[in-house]
Amino acid sequence: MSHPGPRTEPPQSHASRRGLAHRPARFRLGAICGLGAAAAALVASAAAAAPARLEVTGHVRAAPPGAPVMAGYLTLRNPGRRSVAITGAASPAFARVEVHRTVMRDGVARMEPVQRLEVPAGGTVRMAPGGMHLMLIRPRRALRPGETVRVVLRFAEGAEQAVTLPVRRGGMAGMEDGHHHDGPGH
Amino acid sequence: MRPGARSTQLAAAALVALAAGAVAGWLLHGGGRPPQPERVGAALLLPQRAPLPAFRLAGTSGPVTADGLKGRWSVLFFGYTHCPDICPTTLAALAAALDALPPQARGRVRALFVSVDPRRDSRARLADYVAYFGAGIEAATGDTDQIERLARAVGAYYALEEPGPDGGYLVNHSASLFLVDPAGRFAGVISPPLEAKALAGTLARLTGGAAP
Repeated sequence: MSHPGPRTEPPQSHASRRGLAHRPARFRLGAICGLGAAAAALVASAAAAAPARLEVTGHVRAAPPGAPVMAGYLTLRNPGRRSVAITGAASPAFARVEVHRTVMRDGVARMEPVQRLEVPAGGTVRMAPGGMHLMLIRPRRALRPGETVRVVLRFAEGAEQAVTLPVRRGGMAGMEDGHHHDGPGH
Repeated sequence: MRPGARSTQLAAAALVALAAGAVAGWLLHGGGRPPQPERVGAALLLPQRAPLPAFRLAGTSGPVTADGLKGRWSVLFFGYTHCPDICPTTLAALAAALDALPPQARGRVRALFVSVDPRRDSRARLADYVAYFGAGIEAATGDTDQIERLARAVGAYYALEEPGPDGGYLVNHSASLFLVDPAGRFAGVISPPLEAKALAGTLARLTGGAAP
């Protein structure tokens, strides 16, 4: 987490930004150059303090009545220049949320917890039935198709990102692709 | 994963059963070319089929026994309702496949979800669970020794993991579909990934031919 060399903390750059409007015009160019440097430093430090957010789409698969666990499938795109690691998740709608991966070995399905899910810079990670998924444990109430669920992703650096996921039916392997909303243009 | 998997360990993989069948066939045929498993669609059918041993489970439509499975093709899937990913995925594919079958073929096949987690899966819970997927999928569970007897006969594997802090536990289990022919014999497997359309085609072919 420690960065070598000098670094500018976000509060300082905010202060210089606020001060800009009060300076005479002839100083403004220099001030803008200085601001640029501060902004560059801000980007570097912001990556540590508040990592680039992910573009998240996905859904929670509707489950049989009384189902003690449900699954959520996310597509996580990282538009940033730094890798982002998800190390936890939670939801007010469930007692507990874990990231799991179904691993098939010799025809036997086994679920493995994913302690750290890395979304590389510029990359996309897709969860899908039969593979990686959010394991949503003990819904606090029955969730029907059409409802939405709030899930908070926790990043390795401690920051969080909330996403809202629709509940919908379906969820056969290979049937999810038609529902991605994260085209290359986004 | 968590070490020291608890209690129930069944380690008879389908491949072992296939190999055993092949060897038995080879011996019966006096050492000629061993009869090969036959591929029908997505299914791999055994060259030699053995009747299921006697067993008794409580099903959502009454008792499930070896004799009771006779007369139709049976598609067995072993799982548990606390399974968030692979069981619903498989049952949804199976339901879609059954719904896609012509009525006559549909009448010749029975789909049975066998819970390997009888402690948590009551019959009422199982009934709700399979009803959600529809397509007439039935469910059954029972005493551990009865489940094991059936699982071992078809080469299905399952193992309960150590419970977590809140008492919840995962179950590792075979993800294949196991086929029992209308004569009540273990006939073969359909291995994942399971895709509804391929599954429907396979079941249509299986049920279209006269029972051997």
